[in-house]
Amino acid sequence: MKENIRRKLEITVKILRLKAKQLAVIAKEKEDVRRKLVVTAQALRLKAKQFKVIAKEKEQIRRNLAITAEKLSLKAEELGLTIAKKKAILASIGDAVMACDKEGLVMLFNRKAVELTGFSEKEVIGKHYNDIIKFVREVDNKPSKDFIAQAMKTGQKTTMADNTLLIRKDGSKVPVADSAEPIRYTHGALVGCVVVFRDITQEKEIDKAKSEFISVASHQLKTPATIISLYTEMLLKGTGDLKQKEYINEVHNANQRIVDIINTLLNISRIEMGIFSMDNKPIDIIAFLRNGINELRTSLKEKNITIKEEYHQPQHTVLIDKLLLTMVFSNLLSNSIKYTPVGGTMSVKSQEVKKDEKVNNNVIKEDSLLIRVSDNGCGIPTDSQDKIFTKFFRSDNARSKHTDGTGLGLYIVKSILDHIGGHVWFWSKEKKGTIFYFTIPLKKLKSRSQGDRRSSIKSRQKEYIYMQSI
Amino acid sequence: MRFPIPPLLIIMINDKKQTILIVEDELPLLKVYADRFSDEGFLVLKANNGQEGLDLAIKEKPDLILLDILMPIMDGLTMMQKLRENTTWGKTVPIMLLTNLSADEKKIKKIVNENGPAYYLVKLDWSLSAIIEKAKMAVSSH
Repeated sequence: MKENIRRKLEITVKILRLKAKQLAVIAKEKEDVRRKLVVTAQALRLKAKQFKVIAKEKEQIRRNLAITAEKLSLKAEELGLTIAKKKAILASIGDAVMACDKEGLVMLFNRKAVELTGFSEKEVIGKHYNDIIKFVREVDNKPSKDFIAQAMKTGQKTTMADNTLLIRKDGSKVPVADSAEPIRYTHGALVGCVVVFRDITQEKEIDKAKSEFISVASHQLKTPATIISLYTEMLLKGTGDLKQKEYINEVHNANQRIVDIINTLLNISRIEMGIFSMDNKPIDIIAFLRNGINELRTSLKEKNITIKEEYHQPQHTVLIDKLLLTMVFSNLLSNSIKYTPVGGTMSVKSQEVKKDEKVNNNVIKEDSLLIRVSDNGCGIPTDSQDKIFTKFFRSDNARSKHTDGTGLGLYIVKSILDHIGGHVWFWSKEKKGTIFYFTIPLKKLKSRSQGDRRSSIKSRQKEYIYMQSI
Repeated sequence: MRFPIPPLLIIMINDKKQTILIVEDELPLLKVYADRFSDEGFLVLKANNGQEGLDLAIKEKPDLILLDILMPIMDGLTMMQKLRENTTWGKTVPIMLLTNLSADEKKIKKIVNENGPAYYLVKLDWSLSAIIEKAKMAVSSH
């Protein structure tokens, strides 16, 4: 029994030992695994650390990239703006601009070029300029010298010959002036050519008008010069005393005509050049009108003309250049006397008019003083009425009555009134008479003295007509 | 007893006064041309414009016409053309065109050449005595 128990115990011990051994092995294995795990963990930790660093680096790069991207987009925007600005500048240039590359193909065609030639940008870009833009000489309609090719060939700026016409898309012709300038990179290589051209129709017209003015002006001087030359020839040949006086008188009159023409021409050029200095001073316009009429009293008496004067006030102070106003009034007045028959009637009338008021179909533009000079003379023929303010124009009936007019009087009247902000118009019927109206703006009168203003308000409240006849 | 007729009188009898028509709108010029031509023994007719000139020419048939160009109502060139076209007498009367017109000279010269016998004189360049000489020549060669 005991033996049995001992054996059992021995077996148990053996089993236990075995178990212990097994356990030890397992433990060892576990320890191994643990160790490996530790190593792995360590490795992992290391990797993690590395990843972190990389991630950080990447983040930095990303950030940098983002900044760069932002910068780039800003730059792009800036660039876009610059391009748009440049485009806008090119488009807004008042002259037509066309640029072509060195082969002559059009790269740029601005808005004004489109407008002037009638070709759209699409029709032109990429084509050879010679196939689109045609310039001809005004004299013979032959193609003008290819100044664009010349500019590219010589590398020098070239200008188009004078009197060149541009043929537009619709075939019509426009006088143009222009230049071609080669385009170069900074190191000097030729890129192409930029051509600038503009419509000079207006300049041409002005130029023509100026030449005509000179031609007509010298023609005006030829007649009195001829008169002087022929009468002095008669005098030198010798004539009787009576004739002698008559001839000297003719010479004197012709010379006076020359002097008048020269003075008139000088006044015109002064007005046109704008060097007519305006010397605005307060003057009593009513006294001024009366005085102007009085100065012509002799001519009025000679022709036995009755003149009626009607003024809105006994006196009215306005700020104006007296000399300029004298030229206006005396021109109109002496015209009336000239073309009114012996025993005829004239009238001079003054009146204050308000803005938007209508006087003889003419709307008053601002508060003004209106002067009216009328006569029952020969009148202005209907077909001449739109031309009477034109320089040197004289109607047939005026020419047949008075051959010595210059055709400059009404032109001067209009020029002066334009200059001082006034206005002139007329009503006329042939063989019935003419009424000239002119206005002087009253807005400058605000600087009048207190007393003067009061008196003018008073007189406006109680308007009366001051009449005087001879 | 018969008296021989003095030679001068023969000339006066045979050679009746030449008539000149002056058409000019500038009165001082009209007067000085007229005075000088009467001094030279011409019978002078005066008109102030082309229309008056045409009427007077057709009525009086002068031997010579002194004609201004730039005139109101009817200018000298028109008057000349009307005279040449519409009357048989007018086709051959010598016309001296007087002007100070400087532009369109080509056009005027062309019309003058087509309407002979006609002469084109620039006022400022021609003295009275030169005009008289030219007028006498024009009348005698007619």
